[in-house]
Parts: sequence; structure tokens; C-alpha cells
Amino acid sequence: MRTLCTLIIKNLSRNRVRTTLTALAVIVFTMVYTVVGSTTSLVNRLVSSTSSNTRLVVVNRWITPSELPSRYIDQVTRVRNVQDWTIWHYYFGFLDESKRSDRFGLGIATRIDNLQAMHPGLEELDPASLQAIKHDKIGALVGLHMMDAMKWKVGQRFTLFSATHPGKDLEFHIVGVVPAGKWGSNFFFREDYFQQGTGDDETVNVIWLRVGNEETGRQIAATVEQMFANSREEVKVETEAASAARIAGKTESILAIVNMVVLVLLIDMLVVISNSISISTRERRTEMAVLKVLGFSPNFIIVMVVSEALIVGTLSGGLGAALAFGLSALNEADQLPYTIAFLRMFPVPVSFVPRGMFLGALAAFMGSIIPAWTARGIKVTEVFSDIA
Amino acid sequence: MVPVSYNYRNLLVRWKTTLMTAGGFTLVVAALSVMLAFVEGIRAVCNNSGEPENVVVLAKGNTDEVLSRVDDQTAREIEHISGIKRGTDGRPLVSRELFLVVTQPTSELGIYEMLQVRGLRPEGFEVHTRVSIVEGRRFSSGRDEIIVGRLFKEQAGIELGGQVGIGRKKWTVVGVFDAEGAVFESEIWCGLQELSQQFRRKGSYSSLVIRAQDPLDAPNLAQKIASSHRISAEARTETEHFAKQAEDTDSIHTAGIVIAIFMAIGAVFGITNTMFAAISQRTKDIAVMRLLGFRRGEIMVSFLVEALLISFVGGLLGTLVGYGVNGLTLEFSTGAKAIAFAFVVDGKTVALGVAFSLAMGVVGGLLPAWSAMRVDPLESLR
Amino acid sequence: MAANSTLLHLIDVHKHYTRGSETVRVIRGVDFQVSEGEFVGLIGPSGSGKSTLLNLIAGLDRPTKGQLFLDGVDIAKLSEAEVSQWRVHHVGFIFQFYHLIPVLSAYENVELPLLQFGLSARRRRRQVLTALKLVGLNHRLSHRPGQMSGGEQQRVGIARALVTDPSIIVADEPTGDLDGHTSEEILDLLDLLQNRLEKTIILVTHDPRAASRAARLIRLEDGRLVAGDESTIGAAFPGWQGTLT
Ligand SMILES: Nc1ncnc2c1ncn2[C@@H]1O[C@H](COP(=O)(O)OP(=O)(O)OP(=O)(O)O)[C@@H](O)[C@H]1O
Ligand SMILES: [Mg+2]
Repeated sequence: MRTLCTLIIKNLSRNRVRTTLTALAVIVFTMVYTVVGSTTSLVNRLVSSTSSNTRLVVVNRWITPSELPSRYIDQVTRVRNVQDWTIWHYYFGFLDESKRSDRFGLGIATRIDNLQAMHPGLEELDPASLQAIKHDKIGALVGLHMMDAMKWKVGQRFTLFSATHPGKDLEFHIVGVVPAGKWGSNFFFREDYFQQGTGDDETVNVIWLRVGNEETGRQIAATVEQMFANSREEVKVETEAASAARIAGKTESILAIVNMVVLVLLIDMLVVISNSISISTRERRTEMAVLKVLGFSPNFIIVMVVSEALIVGTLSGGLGAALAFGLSALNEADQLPYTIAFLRMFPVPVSFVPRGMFLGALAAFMGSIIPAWTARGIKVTEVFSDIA
Repeated sequence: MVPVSYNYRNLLVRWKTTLMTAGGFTLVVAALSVMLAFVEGIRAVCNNSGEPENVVVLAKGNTDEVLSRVDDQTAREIEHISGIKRGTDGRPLVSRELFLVVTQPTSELGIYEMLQVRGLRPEGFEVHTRVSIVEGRRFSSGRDEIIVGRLFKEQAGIELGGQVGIGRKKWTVVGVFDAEGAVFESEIWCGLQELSQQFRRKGSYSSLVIRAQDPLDAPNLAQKIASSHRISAEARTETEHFAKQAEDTDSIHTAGIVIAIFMAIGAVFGITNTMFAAISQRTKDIAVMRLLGFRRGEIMVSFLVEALLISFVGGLLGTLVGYGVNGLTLEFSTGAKAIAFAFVVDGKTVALGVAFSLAMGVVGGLLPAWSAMRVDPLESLR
Repeated sequence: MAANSTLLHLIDVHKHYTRGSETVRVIRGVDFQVSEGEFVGLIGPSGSGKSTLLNLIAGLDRPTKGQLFLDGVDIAKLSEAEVSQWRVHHVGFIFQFYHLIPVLSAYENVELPLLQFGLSARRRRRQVLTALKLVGLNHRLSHRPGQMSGGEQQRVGIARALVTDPSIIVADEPTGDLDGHTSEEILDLLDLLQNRLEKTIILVTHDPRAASRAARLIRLEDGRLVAGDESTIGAAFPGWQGTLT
């Protein structure tokens, strides 16, 4: 065991340049993997974090984006066993005259009194900002990514050039920031301000209901759908989970590309490791033959070669992921010289560090097993007859 | 100059390493090509969708049709603007269009399909001149008839005479149209009247598409509408309008290149490794060449050329692999709208891929080539 | 030194190599015996199959045909893993090019074969130091091969071969890469092994000086033993003394 360790360590430090280059390659690959993989991971997390079966979403049965008559609110929320409810009025539009697609604000006018209770993902909202919006009619709680994109500060005012309500451009006062994550690209404001500002008291976009359990949820969904079955604006009632899954399905093509990139990254990592290990075993053919002459078994050679790769792979895989995690955390906390706003949408979860180690190890194992097998099969007599 | 055949032979001798190193490049370049082909594909559809004679009018503050509501009043005002081409009926060509994204449950419970339905009047066909019926006929007014775009037909797998549920109602497919690759090919078209009646959108349109006398007049016409005091609406040439839809791909494009650059850094470490190994194996060769009178610079160039050969092969293979997705169709969603597109690998992408690969070769080969240049001939032949 | 019981017994050993469609018959039926404690020189022209035969004896390669008994065990019948186990206990190998592991120190190189014995660290250390002392290198324990001369490296090689206390030591041209004076030192060491430690030694060589150290010479030509086992150096290398000046 000790021999093995000594040999491995010494072999790794023998060609420091090669070991370093290989490690750097793995570090870079896992860093990219971690950052790219975080996007898919975010989508998955959003779907699972909102996979509540006790929150129901009531929308227009047919048309996207949904629109319903406001009189439905009363009827729907009075249904028995509805524990709590809220509504959404969409108020979308451009945040400046540039009309750039990344400056499109998705405003949601809703009830503030039960904002957190009805919007999971807002738990970390600063209570002070929640108080502030209760006392400030034009107050808005703005998503972090919007704040980033527009370089806004709390306390500032902004006007949205409305697309949903042309000509009814409202001014808002930023009273708080909505943390990154599910709501990071939205802003919330008071529904009374919406009513007053747009004069729209005819329609509502979405009605949310909270129910006790899944079973009552199903009953309520059936009741509500039934209620408007023959009216001109039919509704569809889904659990939040079903709705989130459906919306996530729309990002499929992008996710397919992301997954392909991730796969290519991993294969590339494997190729680089494998190449490096093959080069080093080839250079040590004679040595391995000598080890065999000295009585070391072929399996010892395999273990030696694979372990060398595993050490490099695991350590640098973990390091790469940890670096990406660290940078992402710093980026999120505004501690980097240049904050990369775009990447704040995809924070790297800490779970990627062990995952990076695992992938580094996996790539190392797969990349070294063939060279190791070749090294195992080295024919002592051939090696020596080459030399003599 | 050290003959290139020296490098080439050595690469052949170490063919496994050569292939593996080149393989690292192949993967990076292939990934880059696919990402670029994705973006190019979307852009191609969008850039191909607008007719330069057309002007698209949307409600103030909108850049696409999904949220836009234009009322009849505006439509009538616009008809009075000069410079609009007259239709066969002698009236100005202003196509009132209602575009709806309908969430349609498919056979299985809980699974939905997003149908993009456009209701328009007969003059719509005079505005969208690139749309042509390839099977069947146009829908007739007053009936529940639809025509479907070529791509929609392919994806939904329906035939002429088949039925498509839109909302509660069943509509009959009476025709299939081609739009020369424009986004319309993933849409369903039907009569404006019938659609707005079913979904209670009477007197409200998503967009108005106007045809100018001449492509050169279109920007003026758009300008005239946008700056009119009587009309509050957005107006852009149709070309501009669709180019705007492709804007979302800009960030994907940037992200793709950034990812590729980082992957390239990884692959560069790979080639550096290979080249260092090659050089340490061949210090004797280098020493002999130096003793034969080759200069340091020539040795360095020789090894750089070797790195370039590897990267060129890798890059070329990568673009070939990337080329494999050419023509593959996918759907890309922007907001509620979905654009069906085909990956496009064009000459630009291929050139970029190869150039990218060569750049990796230079970066990765430089340090080893430098070290080759510094080999001390007497020392290594001792 | 009185030769006692038979240690090594080769019976009709053949070794063929196939290169593509061509078969090279390198060893074509060799029989001989070596007794315990003997110092045997294996000589013959280049390409006659000396190294091949030595490799067979050391269990590095398998005979195509024939039996090869060492200490009563037919090593041709062992599996690869068994052979490697067997070898570490019974054979010490000395190479022409020393073949030390460059990343390990002299001490570690010698220790290497011992590590498979499951000895205590103290015991191992004692054995390694004894071996290195025997070859006169106990003052250079931490040197790497790269920091030693050829002669010194070969001494480490010899220490490594004897540290496991093998029944037989095989050496393939151990002085082939060394100058005259250093060669003599190395040969003296081999003599010492045989005289003091009563090791059985098979030495392959081209060098008459080296061959002269052997008590018995076996001559190989074209893969066969030359009839009548030349046993004197004078017969094996006629006029060799004249070549020295
Ligand atoms: N692995 C092998 N495959 C094919 N042929 C081999 C192999 N090993 C040795 N030979 C052939 O066997 C013959 C004897 O080789 P060997 O190395 O045993 O000779 P030798 O007597 O040791 O010569 P030298 O004195 O030059 O070392 C040679 O012709 C060689 O080409
Ligand atoms: Mg030989």
C-alpha cells in the first residue's frame, strides 16, 4: 500500500508540467460544466420547488396569456375549502425606450397582504420592504435580475412603457429587491395601484387558490371548471406542479443544446485525461516492465495507473467546481470587480462541488482504464528486446 | 525550414495521441458549430420571414403579437394613410390579423399543445405574397375551415381533410401552405371572423399588416404611422419586426461563444501536453537537426506547424460532425410564441470553426515549441 | 565450492516467436542443469538466444515447449500471477541498463521488491541496509538514479536483486554498459555473492573477462547448446587474453 502511494505520488510529481496541464484542463472543464449545468439544474429546481399540489392556478382554458373576467374572482374564491387566494394582473412592458428584449419587464399586480404566503420563493424577502410597499402605493418589489440589467438602486423610480396596457405607462418606486431565483426576473406591485392606474377592472389574468390537501384540490378544481363549463370564458384549473412542468417543457430545445454541451464537455475531459495518461504510461513502459520483473502483479500496475488518474481527476474536478461555486457566490454577493449580471440568474449550488469531484473521478477512471489495461499487458521481454 | 513531412510522419507514428488530441478539438469545434447552427437557424427563419414591402402595426409598447391589441378605430385610421398599395378590390391593403396561442389538450390527460392560430381576411393573402397553397385550397368564410403551414402539418402529422380541435370547436383542414421558410409555416390560418367570434375578440386585432406600394416606401410608411398624432401604435417594416424576434438569440450566441472559448482552454491544455510529450520524445531529433544547421526559429516553427496540423484535422472533423445537425428541425420558444426552425451550418460557421481550432493550435503549441527551440543539442546527445 | 543438489533443470526447452506469418525459432531444444551455488556463464554470439533463454529461466516468458524446473517447480505451468509471485521469491534480476525507477531513491529502489513480502518496517530496513552495505553503497541511500554513475546504479541493481534472498540471480550482460575498471568491480561483487552468500548465478555475457569469473560456461549457438559444454574460458574465447592490453 505504501509503495503504491509512494509510486503514485512520485509519478505525479515526475512530470509536473504534464500533471499541472492535465489538472488545469480538468479544472477548466468542470468549471464550465458547473456553470453550464447550473442552468439545467435551476430549471429543474424551479419545477420541483413549485411542485406544490396544494396550490391551484385558475387560468383561461384556451388562450395564452390567460385572461378572465374579474367577476370570476368572487365566484372562485368563495368555493368551499379554499383556504387562501390571490390574483395576478399582468402588467408587462419595456423598461426603457430601447425596446431591447432583455429590457422587458414582467410586472405582476397582486395582493400584498398575503404576498409571501401565496408565492413560495419569496421567503427571503426583506420584511422591511414588505412593510414599505404597504405604505407606498406606487411601491414595487423588483427582481434582482431586473435590478441588475437596469443597474437600478432601491429608492429609485422607474416608468414601465406598457405593452399590455398601451398608453397607461405607470411610474413605480423601488422599495425592495426580490431575491434571485423563481421571481428574480419579475416585479410585484399593488393591485389597487394597478386598478387606479390602468382603469382596468374588467379582467384578471390568473387566480391562485390555496387548499388543504391534494384531494380537496382535485375536488375544487373540478367544481371550478364545472362552474364555468358553459360560459363563454372557460377556465382551466391545474395544480401549480402541473403548470410549472408544462411551462418548463417549453425550454426543451435550449435544454437539449445545453445537455449536448455538457455531454461534449465531459467527453472532452475524458479525452484529455486519457491522452495524458496514455502518454505517461507509454513513457514508462520500461519501468513498468521492471516492476513486473520485480514481482509486482499486473493488477498492481492497473491500480497504480488508475489511481494516478483518479487523484488528479478527483482533486481537480472538485477544485474546478469549488472555484465555480466560489466565483458564483462572490458574483451573487457583488464582491467581484465585475459583476456578471447574466450569471446571477444561474447561481451554482454547492451540491456541484461533490458532483465535480465525482465527474472528475469518473472521467479519470474511464480515461485511464484503457491505458492501464495496455500497461498491464506490457510484455517484459518485448520491452527489453527493444532496448538491447 | 524543417520539412513538414517530418511533422506529418511523426504524427502518423504517434497516431493514437494525434487522434486523441485532435479529438479534443473536434468536440469543442463540433459543440461550437452546433450552438452557432442553432442560433443561425433561428435567425434564418426570422430574417426570412418578413417581406420588405410590408409594415407591421402593433399596439403601443409591443414588439410581438402575443400581447398586442389593436382596435378597429386604429385600423380605419390607418387605411386613410397614403402610400398603401390597393388590393384587387380597390381598397388599401390593410390586413387585420388576430393571432392567438391556444392551449389545446391533446388526447392524453394533462398534456397540452400550443397551437398558433392566425385569423385573417382574404386580403391577408395579398399582403403575405410568399404564402402559397401547396395542397388543397384556401379556407372559405363562414365555415369552420383552416389551412395549415407546412411545418405544422409535419409536426402534427395531420392530413388534408383531417380535423383539428381549436378550443371547443373542430375545424377541418382544407389546405396546406408554404411560406418560403417564414415563421408562418408553423401556424394555423383561418377566417378572422370565425376566430374572433369563437374567442370573443371582435373588433380587436393583434396586428395590422400593411403593404406599401414599393419596398422603398415601407420604412416611410412605418415612420408615418409611428409618428402620427391620430394613431397610437408601433409600426415597423415586417423585416425589422421579425429581426426583432431573433433578438433573444443574441444572448445565446454570446453564451455559446463564451462556453466554446472556455472549452477551448481545456482542449488547449490537452494539446500542450501532447506537444510537450512529443518534444521530450524527440529531443535527440531536435539536437541532430540543430547540429545539421537548422536554426532555433526553424525548430520552433516546425513544432508549431505540427500543433497546427493536429488542430486543423481536429477542427475540420469538428465542423463535419457539426454539419451533421444541418437541417435538423427543433422548436424554439420566445414568450408564448414558438418558432420551428432548422439548424443551419453555413460557410461562415465552418470557417469560424476551423479558424477557432487553428487558434487553439497556436495557443497550445506555442509554449512547447518554445521549449523545443531551447533544446541544447550537445547536452541531449551526450 | 562443491556443487550439491540440482536447483535448475531445463528439459527440451523451445521458444518460437511469430512475426506475422514468419516463425522464428530462437531456442531449439535446450537441456541443462544448474546446481545450487553454481556460477554459470552463458555465452554465445549475438542473436543466439541468450537473453531469450535467461528470460525463460526467470519466468519472464514462457517456453513454447518443454519443462523448466526451478526448485522442483515447473514454472512453465504457472499462471501469470503465480509466476510473478514465484519470481519475487526465487529470482533476482540484474539488467544491462540497470533499470532503476528514476523517481525513487537508491534505498527505495532496493526496498521495492521487498514490499511484497509483508515484512515489518524494521525488518525491511535491516535487509535493505544489509544489501546496500554489501554493494558498498550504504552512504548513498537517498540518491536518485540520475545522481549516480553507471557503476553505482548497477550496484543498486545488484542490491535490489539480492535483497529478497532469491535462490537464483540472473544477470544479462551486467557489465555491458560499463568501462573496464567498473566492470571488474561489479564482477567482484558477483563473485562475492557466490562465495559468501552461496548464491546461484547465471551470467549472460559477451565479455571474456566476465565469462572468466564463471565456474562453468554454457555456450549457445543458434538456439542450441554447443555439444560438450565448453567449460574453460580458453576454449570459449580462444586467444582472449591477447585482446587485453
Ligand atoms: N519478442 C521477440 N519477438 C521476435 N523475435 C525475438 C524476440 N525476442 C528476441 N527475438 C529474436 O530472437 C533472437 C535471439 O535474441 P536474443 O535477444 O535472445 O539474443 P542474444 O543472444 O541475447 O543476443 P545479444 O547478444 O545481441 O543480446 C534474435 O534473432 C531476436 O531477433
Ligand atoms: Mg541479449
